[in-house]
Amino acid sequence: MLDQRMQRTPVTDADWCMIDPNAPVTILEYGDFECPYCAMAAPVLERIVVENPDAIRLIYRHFPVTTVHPLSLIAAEAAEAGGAQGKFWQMHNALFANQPRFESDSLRQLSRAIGLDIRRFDREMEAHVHLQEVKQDFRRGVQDGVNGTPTLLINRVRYDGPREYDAILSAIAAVAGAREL
Amino acid sequence: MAQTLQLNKPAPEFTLPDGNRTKVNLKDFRGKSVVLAFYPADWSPVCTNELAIIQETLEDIRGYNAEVLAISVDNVWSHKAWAQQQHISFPLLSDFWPHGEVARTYGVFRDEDGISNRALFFIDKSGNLRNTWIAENPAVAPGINIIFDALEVIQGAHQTEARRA
Repeated sequence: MLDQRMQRTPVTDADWCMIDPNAPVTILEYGDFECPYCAMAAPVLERIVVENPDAIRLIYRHFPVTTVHPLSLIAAEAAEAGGAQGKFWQMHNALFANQPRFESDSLRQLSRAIGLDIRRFDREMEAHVHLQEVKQDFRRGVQDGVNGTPTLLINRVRYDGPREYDAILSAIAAVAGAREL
Repeated sequence: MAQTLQLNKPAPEFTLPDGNRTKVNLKDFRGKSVVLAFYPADWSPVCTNELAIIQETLEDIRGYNAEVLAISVDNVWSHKAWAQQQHISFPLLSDFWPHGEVARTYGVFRDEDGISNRALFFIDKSGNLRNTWIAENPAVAPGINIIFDALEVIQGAHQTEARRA
């Protein structure tokens, strides 16, 4: 009987990390910017990390499911283009807040709104400079056993419970050995 | 696993209609590995997520000389509409009547609510059952890595056979 709920790929310095990269608890999220469940989870996860900055970090990786979310891939590239200018999380939040308006003009407006160099953004989007980074995340998601979006792994173990504040925090406490949070 | 099913023995044969009312026979896929994916219901959020990810990785799955057949107790019209909406290109087979008969044969029918449990059966190119995954909780979809892990094992055996040939 097959089963596997463990994260196989390592988190590296190249991953997008919210707040403290040395926090002892890691939430790894595989997300899709066009997925409504991911948009609902985003503020919950941010609150958990912001309220526990020394204890919990959030790693975000792309898992665009393009057959049902055709604009999720370009949105992921836009987030990476934001990251290339030091504003990954601003773009991440802007994308979820504006879901699903991800046509080219909308993405340009978002990039302007968060203060990106628009010419560089345009150039990188047109050349798909960040496409391979997104695809690499997707492949890692396959290895790590993504079973929907968002998929959350807490300290390398997949969490399949409710994407709600109390439930996730309880799961973190259990995984972290009842550490004070 | 159903008591009648054994690993490395022939998987039970079946014929079911797909969303186009075309009859699909398991034995038609001899020469390919088959991922048999039972799921509870068209249109439900977890099934939508599960099958969307299978669709997203379908070319990679087919790279293992494998095909996906998904089965639920929904009728053919539901399958047709759902496949169109979700852009699902692999067959969705209707185990509607006799209700859940194939799911019962594979030991994954749920008498308490009349649907199939969520499960994966991996069948090799000779038609033998090689591995299974059956959900402890049907509300949780399998990690997509399970499909690739199983296909790796099946293909590894084939590579061994080829070396021996």
